[in-house]
Amino acid sequence: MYEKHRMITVASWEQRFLYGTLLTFEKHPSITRLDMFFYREYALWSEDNRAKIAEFCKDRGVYLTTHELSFETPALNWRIIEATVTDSYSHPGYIVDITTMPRDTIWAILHFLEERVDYASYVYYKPETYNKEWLSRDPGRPRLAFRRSGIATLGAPTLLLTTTGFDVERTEQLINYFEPKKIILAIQQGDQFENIKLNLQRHEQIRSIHSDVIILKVDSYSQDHSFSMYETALQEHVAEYNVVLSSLGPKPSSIALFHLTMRHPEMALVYAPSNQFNLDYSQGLGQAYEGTLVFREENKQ
Amino acid sequence: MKNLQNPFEFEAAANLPPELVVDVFVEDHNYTRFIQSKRNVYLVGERGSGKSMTLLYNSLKYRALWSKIHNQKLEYDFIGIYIPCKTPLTQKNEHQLIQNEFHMALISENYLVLSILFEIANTFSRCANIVPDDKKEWLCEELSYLFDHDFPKDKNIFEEVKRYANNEVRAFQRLINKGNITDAYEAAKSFSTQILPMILLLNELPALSSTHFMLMLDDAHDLNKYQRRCLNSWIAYRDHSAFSFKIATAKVSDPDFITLSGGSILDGHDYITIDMEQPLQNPQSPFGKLARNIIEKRLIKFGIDKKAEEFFPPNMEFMKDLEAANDQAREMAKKEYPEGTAKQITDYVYKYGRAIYFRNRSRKANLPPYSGLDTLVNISSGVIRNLLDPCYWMFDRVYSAAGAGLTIAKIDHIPASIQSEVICERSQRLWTLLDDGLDKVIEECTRDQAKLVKNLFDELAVFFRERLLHHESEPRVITFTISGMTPEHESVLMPLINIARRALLLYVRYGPSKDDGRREPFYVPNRMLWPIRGLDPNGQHGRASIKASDLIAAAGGRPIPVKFVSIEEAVQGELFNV
Repeated sequence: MYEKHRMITVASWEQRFLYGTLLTFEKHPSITRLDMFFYREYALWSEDNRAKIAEFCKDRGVYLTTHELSFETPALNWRIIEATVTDSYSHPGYIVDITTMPRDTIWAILHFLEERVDYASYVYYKPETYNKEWLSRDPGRPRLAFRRSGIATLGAPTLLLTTTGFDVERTEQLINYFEPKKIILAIQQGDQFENIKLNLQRHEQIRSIHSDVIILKVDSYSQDHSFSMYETALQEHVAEYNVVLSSLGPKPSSIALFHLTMRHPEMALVYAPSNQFNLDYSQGLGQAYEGTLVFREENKQ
Repeated sequence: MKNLQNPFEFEAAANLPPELVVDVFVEDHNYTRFIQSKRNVYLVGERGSGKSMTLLYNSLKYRALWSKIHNQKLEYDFIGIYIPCKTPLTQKNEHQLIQNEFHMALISENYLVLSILFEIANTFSRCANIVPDDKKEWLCEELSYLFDHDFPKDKNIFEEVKRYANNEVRAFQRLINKGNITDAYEAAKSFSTQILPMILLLNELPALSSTHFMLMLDDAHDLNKYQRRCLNSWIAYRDHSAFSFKIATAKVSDPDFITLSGGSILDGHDYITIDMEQPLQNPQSPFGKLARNIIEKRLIKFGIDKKAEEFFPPNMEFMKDLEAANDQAREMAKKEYPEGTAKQITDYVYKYGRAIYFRNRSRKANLPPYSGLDTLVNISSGVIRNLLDPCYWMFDRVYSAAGAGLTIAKIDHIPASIQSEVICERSQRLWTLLDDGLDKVIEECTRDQAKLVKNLFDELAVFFRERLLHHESEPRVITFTISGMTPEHESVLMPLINIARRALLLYVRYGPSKDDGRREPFYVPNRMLWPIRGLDPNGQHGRASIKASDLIAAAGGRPIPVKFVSIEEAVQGELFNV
């Protein structure tokens, strides 16, 4: 066990960011450093929460670094994240709060941590409620994650596996972008937030349009975030297809997909950005999900 | 779509079985003479316009299949090598992490070169006897020297080259993914050192001594900036005796034509452009004939021997009412032109017959019963996929409703009522897309822009409806040109136009300008929008000229002014017809 922990997060205007961060500190008093990224496009919205966190860190004697990222400069973001995560600070345990972290940022941070440490902990806080009208808009062009873009085979068809959310249009956007020969839709089980009507039934329609669609019922909140289900579903196809993985569903699924690329570096991660988020995205702080991603089993203490 | 249960499948062409593509592709109107030439060709068109089908059909694999099916000799004069660009390999973007532009270009070119190399080898690996026995060892040695790799002499050389290309590309990706850029640069390959010499080597084989190689890149809009510039540089090569490029690209992507050295390639000089979206005058137009052939070929494949018009019969009540409206127009024409020629009467009926039908309909009546081949051809807006889409759903509805026991071949027509039902549903679907917000599905479209585009189309619908009901000269016009465009207007309007184009709600065509004969763009809203709004999707020759300022105001929710032209002005022939 490490005596000191370093936490990495992306600041947000949401309540769960602020309360979740404070709760994490409470659970892990060993956190001595916080690396807080924030996005320029939402700097105004997140300003208040960032100031509160800064105040908290000052009171607590936690070393705080803040770093500005931008949705418009993914390559620059990569360099900033690399410089931050791989700095010369001595090797503590890491806790990555993925709650309000865009998925490509999650994958970039985990990528650099994989090179640096044997394992990293992560935490995700659900909100109490989500906005019923809309959450995000203005989809950007899908892009393969840097250095997690897989090892494609010439002549092989594409298989797209994506966890799905309530926006079937975003799933269709990905399908139009890759024109995969085979599609695996990983749909969250249960009927929370009208999941069956808004997620499952809408995505069933994709079956009537595309010839080769498999629907997988998963649980992104299980211990392994359904990693083993994905691996089983994909193992018979890996040799034949170029596999592309996307996380449009519950955020913990992004951990499972990253884990897949650790075991199968030939698989590619794709990020489907949204350029606009709802200020009233969520309310309150809900259940926490914590876990550990092991990069090198033999060295894990 | 499962197991090919529907003659009107419209999935991505490369995902369809080759036998289906060969069987249903209609060659006559698809520019074969341009493809099978030594010219560089850009095939430009939006999704569903037939670009991929055209390239696939002209690739060696599909031509070989066609020759086998039809028991014809396979000719090697023009050999098409199909190279897909919509692949996870092409979509990699680690080059963005490099700050040196030259190195970015090297890495990008390498992926493209290895893809082309693979597809060349893949094309020939299935061709028995391309390499005669006395040339096998020679070819193996030459390629071993060219690629600096020992190919085994006792194996299919093209399979070995495929394996080599894959090993190279996979090793390269590992280097890039690990951040080992320096080793990657040293391994990078170029077109001039790999592809060009290989083509020249292949020309030395007896069977391929006069072969012209067509390198056919599909979805070239998915290439990154550096790959596009490499491609442009290759297009600029002076000598195209041995090879040429046929490049399929989406129109809305507005490809750039700059080369790696900063020069440019020129339309008409370095390449020619084929617009895959066909202008649509009437069912006797080339697209109309193409549509008919496509439908009939697909029906035959499924054992349905019916003419397209018989399979999609129009509603008889509608035909009767239309004939009555045409008679009314004829009487009006005789009054207008007491000494009129037969052509003048016919033209008058063409212009006003259908408009009179729509004007005669009660405001409280249901929507017109849209049906018939004529209607299907028109609502496709000249895009093949837009033709197949409603046909697919109509067929599915009939087949699903029939229950067990009905085979596909026993479906001998689609009832007009089902045609009308499906057309209205597909029409509503487009408006739902607008209502729900294009920002949900179209990249780089903000919520505000989505609202503006929705308003714009709403006002266009109202505008065209006003014309249909009141305009005396061109009542059924449903295309428009933009006049009075200033740079300020352009900065506001063109992003909205481009969003609508990316959403396939609007198509751009080019035609002669009224004023000075030069070519100008004109805009064709997707005709599938009109049925649910009660408009006539058939349209007529002619374009409404709308001021840019009026379109911008329409995006803000203001009606577009309709200038009502009297019949006298129209008869004086001052107005422009296309």
